[in-house]
Amino acid sequence: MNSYGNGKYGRSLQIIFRASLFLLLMGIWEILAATGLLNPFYSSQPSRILMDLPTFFKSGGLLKHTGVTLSEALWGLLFGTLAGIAAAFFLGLFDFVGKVIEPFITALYGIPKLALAPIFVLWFGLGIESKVILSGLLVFFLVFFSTFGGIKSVDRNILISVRLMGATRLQIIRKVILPSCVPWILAGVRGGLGASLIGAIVGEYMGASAGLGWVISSATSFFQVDRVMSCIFILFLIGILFNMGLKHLEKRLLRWRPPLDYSGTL
Amino acid sequence: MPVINNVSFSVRPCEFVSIVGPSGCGKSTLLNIMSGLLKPQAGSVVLDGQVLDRITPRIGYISQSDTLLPWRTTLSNVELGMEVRRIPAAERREKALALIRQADLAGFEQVYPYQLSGGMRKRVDIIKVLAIEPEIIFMDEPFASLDVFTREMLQSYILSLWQDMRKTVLFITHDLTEAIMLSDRVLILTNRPARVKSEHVVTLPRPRSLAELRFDPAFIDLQRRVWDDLKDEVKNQRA
Repeated sequence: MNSYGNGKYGRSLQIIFRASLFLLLMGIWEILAATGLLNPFYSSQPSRILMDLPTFFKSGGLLKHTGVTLSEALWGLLFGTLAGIAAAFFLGLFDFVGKVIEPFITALYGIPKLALAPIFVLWFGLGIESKVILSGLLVFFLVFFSTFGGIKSVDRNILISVRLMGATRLQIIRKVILPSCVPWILAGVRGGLGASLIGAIVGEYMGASAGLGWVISSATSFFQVDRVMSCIFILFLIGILFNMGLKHLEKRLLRWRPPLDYSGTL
Repeated sequence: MPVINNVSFSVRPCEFVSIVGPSGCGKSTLLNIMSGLLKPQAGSVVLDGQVLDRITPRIGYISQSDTLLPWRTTLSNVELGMEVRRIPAAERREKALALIRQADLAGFEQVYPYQLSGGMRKRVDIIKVLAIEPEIIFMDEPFASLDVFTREMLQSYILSLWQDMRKTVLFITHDLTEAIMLSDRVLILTNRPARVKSEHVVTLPRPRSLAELRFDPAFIDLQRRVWDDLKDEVKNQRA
């Protein structure tokens, strides 16, 4: 069996290769900028970003703005996920209501949600609320459709067998439908992680007084590309962190699934 | 055309009755009606003098498909039915562990279904139903999806379970040998619309051993007679 990936050395080897690839790309960027092939005024440069980050941190801005964006994204993720699950269960379990309302949701889904960002700022103000709502809305649709699909594909044989054991409707929902939707919910949340950050950042572009999106947009207008890149680097780290958190959660919640291993089959 | 028509029979307490018929003749429909899952357009199911028109805890149902919850361990799958009946946790645990031990599954309590073999999964499926202590057990081709060796092991398991527990069993199968080996009585159904074509009482002595039964002249003779009955139905179905 081929053991890159899950063998004893596989894991550390993976990390070494990953880090080397990252450093290599940064190195290429650095050299291109140093030799003048890229103009660092527009493209910035890894060494400049590395110098800008401590400055940004010392000014107190880094933590403040990161904190604002993070809390917008996380609240959006939380509310969007809860609302998505609740709506999916409501529409999925009450067939009639589902048939009446589902087309509306599908139609709303067709609207590019980011187009709503300016009006949300108008409605909900320049503060964190408008961004949480935008971010939550993006997450909502992803989690809703995924969970709704999960509810519609619960194993019928299992449902019947649990019904025959005398389970009530509520017991069936709690003990069968909800747990069998967990992988579907997690798939929705996986998409929602990125979407929640997009919502927060785009919301900040439209009008805010804090947050990484606001810093990016104002630094761009002052041609401070290094600062812009610093913010993007922080967003990149946040993305990694979010994904690590979710992977950890998946590992815990989906222990019962046979591990996927394609080695030898592809 | 009705799926089943004019099917009438009764089962005595602690009797093991098999229903055999050509595939697609309505065996499963019959069992679904008897368990309260489907309402018949006409006719009725009577249990102890009372018309049965809903799901009852007195009947346990073991189906052909895998109905273990994949996110539950063996132990908690066995506890599921008792959970539904709101039996206290400690009692639940104790009973489930005892059943798991009896079914020769000790050591697999904390394992998820995907980690079990097909035969083990079926045994968990069976004790999961036994755990809620039904008086009557319906089995709808429970071993249809298993390989021959596993099936034989499980047939012996069912035989010994029944000899110990003495429950009323209604067993649906299209496997004639299986039906005769396990049952007190075998009912043959016709093609759609299904009705009871004939009834064969199996007088082979108990306790039975599957290994010896296979070569028992009485068994072979009975098998031939039942097969003659069933043959016409299978032929008509092809025509």
